[in-house]
Amino acid sequence: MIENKEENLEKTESEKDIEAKPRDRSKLSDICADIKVSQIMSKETTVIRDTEPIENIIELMAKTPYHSYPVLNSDEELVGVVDQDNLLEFLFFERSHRKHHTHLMAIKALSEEASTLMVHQPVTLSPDANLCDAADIMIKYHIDRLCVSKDKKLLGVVSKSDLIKKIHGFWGK
Amino acid sequence: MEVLFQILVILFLAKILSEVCERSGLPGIIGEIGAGFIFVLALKPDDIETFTFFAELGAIFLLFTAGYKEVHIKDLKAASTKALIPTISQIVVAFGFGFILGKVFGFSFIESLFMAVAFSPTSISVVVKTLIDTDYLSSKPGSMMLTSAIFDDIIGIFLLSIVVSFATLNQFPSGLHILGILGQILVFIVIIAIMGWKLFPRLFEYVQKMHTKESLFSFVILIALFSAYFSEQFGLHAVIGAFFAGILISDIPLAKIESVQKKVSGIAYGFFTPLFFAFIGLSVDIEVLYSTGIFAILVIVLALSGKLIGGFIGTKLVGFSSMDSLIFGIGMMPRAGVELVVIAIGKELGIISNEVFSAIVLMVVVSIVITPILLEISIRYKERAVAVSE
Repeated sequence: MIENKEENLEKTESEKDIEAKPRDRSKLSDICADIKVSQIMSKETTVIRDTEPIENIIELMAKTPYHSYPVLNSDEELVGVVDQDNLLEFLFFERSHRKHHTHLMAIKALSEEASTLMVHQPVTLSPDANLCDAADIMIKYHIDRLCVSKDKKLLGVVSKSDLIKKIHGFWGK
Repeated sequence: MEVLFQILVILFLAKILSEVCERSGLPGIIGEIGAGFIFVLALKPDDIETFTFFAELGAIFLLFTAGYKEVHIKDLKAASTKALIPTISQIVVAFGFGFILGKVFGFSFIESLFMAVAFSPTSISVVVKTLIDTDYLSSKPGSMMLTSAIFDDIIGIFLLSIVVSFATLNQFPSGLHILGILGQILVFIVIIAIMGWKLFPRLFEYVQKMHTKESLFSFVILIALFSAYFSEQFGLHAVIGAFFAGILISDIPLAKIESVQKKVSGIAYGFFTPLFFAFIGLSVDIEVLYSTGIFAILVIVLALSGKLIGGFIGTKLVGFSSMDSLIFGIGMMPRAGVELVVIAIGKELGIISNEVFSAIVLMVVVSIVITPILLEISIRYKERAVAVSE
């Protein structure tokens, strides 16, 4: 009995020890809730103009490691996002199954520039959103990169890897 | 249990026959219509009330997803006004042919009007495969077909809203009456547009943060059902509200997240719309078709030639060559969506007879089968003519 008690005591103490570490889920959530996405977003991000020809977008995607790119219009407003899926659907439209031959897809297949290829009005985050908000959307809806914008102006981009890098930073401390 | 068995058998047949059609190069919708047709021949069910309700939901989801996934306000703004002339021309001629045919056969004003509206829309997706295979998607008539189809859907829905509002009349409505109906439609559109512009985006923000399972998906479905119900309060049919709701939320970022769209497509195309198409097949009366063979043939010939002639004239007016105009006219012939909703509503309201209903379903099936073939022949013919002249 005494031994057991001691074991229990030891467990309780080790649990306390774990709670004190930043690895603890609730602690991590608390820390993330206090950090705004504007603090970790990449401000200097690669963007595409809405008039950008598709050839240039292919070249850009071949040279850079990102999966999606914000699209800006001439007023510097965020108007859409082009991702690898959009481009592959465009390139392989002729091979796609009949069920994908909808009117909208046919129009996209005739695209010559980003404005017709892109997904209009993407999901964005406000700069005041915290890391938990960003993680929630990324996990729930399988989105790799989110644009951070205010009044239609792009402020930066935050990705899953930005979040992971930040969390890794806590562990290092 | 009876209802469960009906749904089970129909959905199973619809999916199997749809697969058979797809594998033999035909759109799956023919298989789904065929499923209803075979179901009623084989099992002769007495009570299909619950199944009919599911089919009505299918019509609501069909038009909701059409607005949600296929019509974008930005595309409408960008669509060249040059496409308006060919679009209006092909709709007017097809509409006129439908109305005149009804009158010649002695149908009432409203039944002729329903037939005319059922003659008017086009389902462009039927010919996209042919346009790709013949490398004609980006051609002059090909891109005109796509632009025209944007207006076509909207005009088709508008005509449907008017004709449903006329449903209680048996004569040509007075100017005041028409104005009243148009006002009603306008008020509905304004209220729903304000909701879509101001209220829905905010609600989506809250819903996104909810902990309940699939809250965003449920909210999209709720908006479809709410708009469908709300439009009925304005004397419009539920499908019209669903269509407008679809268009409105297609501009809200949180509503068009791909994973949410996929779920909506899943419930629509995986469950509800096959039941609607099967219901269409189930409601076809083959005996009536035998007894009124000439009428059915005239429906097919006039519905298809109306689009062909109207499309040909319209594109000639904007400067197309005769061959390109012919290709455009043929491309506008297929029907596979809104027209079936029109006749289903007409039948539900007791306005159109089994004769008209069955003939139009036959026309839809014929148009789906022959249009791609005719389109390919006309494109090959043009290419040969160009090669010879060179």
